Order: sequence, then structure tokens, then C-alpha cells
Amino acid sequence: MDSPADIRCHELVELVTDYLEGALDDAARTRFELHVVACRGCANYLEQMRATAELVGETPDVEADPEQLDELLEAFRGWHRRTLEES
Amino acid sequence: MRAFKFLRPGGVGLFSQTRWPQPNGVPGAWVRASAGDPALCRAGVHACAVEHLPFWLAEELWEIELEAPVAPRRSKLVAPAGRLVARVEAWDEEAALAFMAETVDRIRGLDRRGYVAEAEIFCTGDAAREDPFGNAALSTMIAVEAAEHAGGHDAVRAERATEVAWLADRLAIA
Repeated sequence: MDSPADIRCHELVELVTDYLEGALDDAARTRFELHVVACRGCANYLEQMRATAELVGETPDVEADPEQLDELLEAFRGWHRRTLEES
Repeated sequence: MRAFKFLRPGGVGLFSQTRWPQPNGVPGAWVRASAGDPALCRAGVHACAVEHLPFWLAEELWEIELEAPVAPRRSKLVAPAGRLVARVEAWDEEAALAFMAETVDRIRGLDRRGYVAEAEIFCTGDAAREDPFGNAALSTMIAVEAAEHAGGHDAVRAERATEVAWLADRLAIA
């Protein structure tokens, strides 16, 4: 029997991206929506994620400055080396 | 086929956020499911038979005409298109509060302490009145979980049947 309790809040968090991208099958989508109707916390979370996805979708791609990109990559490699040495 | 559909204030779809054309002496314009719009379910327009109502409680309840073929699912009906026919005016804040109060009474009767506490926090008094429709929906989730713990699937079915009977009687839509 379909129920809002078929999925839990922490499971819904894992599914929200697939839901917004229309990637859930009909049964999973129904379980997701049944939970959201009854759970205000998850309804708020879904709306925040929807708004975030819309805003990010409107942000233009920015070309990174090659020098800054090299500095960032070097900083990351240094961090990665130190992490390996310490482990 | 005549069925029912819950919408947000202003006739807005719960998940699609589609603003449904409203009737004005004649039924509203047909709304057709869109295969290309991920905000709309690709399968079709969703609606409720009476037995599906407790699953989807929200602010506005409408009578809807569905285009054939209508596919019944466990918690909804799915059709290629639908149009609003009339608002079910009997579903209002007062009805939502009354529905919630009875649901909370049944939760108390199941005597599962955690669920009773949760229901009393969110579904009684000022908290209940803050969001009568949202908390009415929440009360059904708590009731179903409490019923499952108290008596398994049979108790869940009995709880859902009671909710359906209450709504059909109160809204005179049996």
C-alpha cells in the first residue's frame, strides 16, 4: 500500500536530484511525492533545491584565468601530497 | 470520467506548479500532460478517486474531468488530460481541522507513545491552526505509521478506509 512513510526523510534527500531531473520511475516518483505532501520539512527542502537548481542554471560559465588555474592546481597537488605523506 | 484533484492556492499543481485554468460557468481549459517537460509527470495528468483523497491533502479540492483512457494506480488516477469542473467548497480550513482532530483521536487510541506525542505537537491547538491543510496531511502520515506499528497492513488499510469514509461523508462526494 502506498504511504508517505514508504520513504524516510533521509532517503528523500538522496533522491531529490533525480526527482528534479525527472530521472525517477513512476513508482519511485509517486513514493517521493506522497512523502513530500505530508512532510513540511521535506517540502521546504525540495523547494530550496528547486530554487537552487534554477539559479545555478542561470549562472553563465566563466573561463578561468590560466595562471589562476595553474595556481589552484598546484595548491591542490600540494594538499594532496601532504595528505598522502601524513596518512 | 469525473474525479478529484488537490491543488495549492490559486489552482496551482502540487508538484508541476502548473496554474490550472479555472472554470467560469463552463469547465476550465484542458491541461494535457507534456512529454517534454520534466516538471510535469510524463505519464499524464494525476487525479484522485475518492479512495485516493487522503494521500494528497492540500488547500484546494477540485472536481476534475479526465480524458480517457484513465489508468487507476494504488494512490492515484493517471489520464492523458484533464480539466477543472468545479471547486469542492466543503473542503476548507474548518473541514481540515475537523479531519485532523479525528485522525489525532485515532492515533491516541492506537496508544503508541511517540506517535501520539508527534501528533499532539503538530496536529492540535495553535500548531494545527497555523497550517491546517499541511498538518492534516501530516496527521495521515503519523496515523498510518502508528497503525502499521500497532497492527500491520490490516490496521493501515482500516485507517485509510476510515479517512476515506470521513472525507466522502463530510464533503458529500461518495
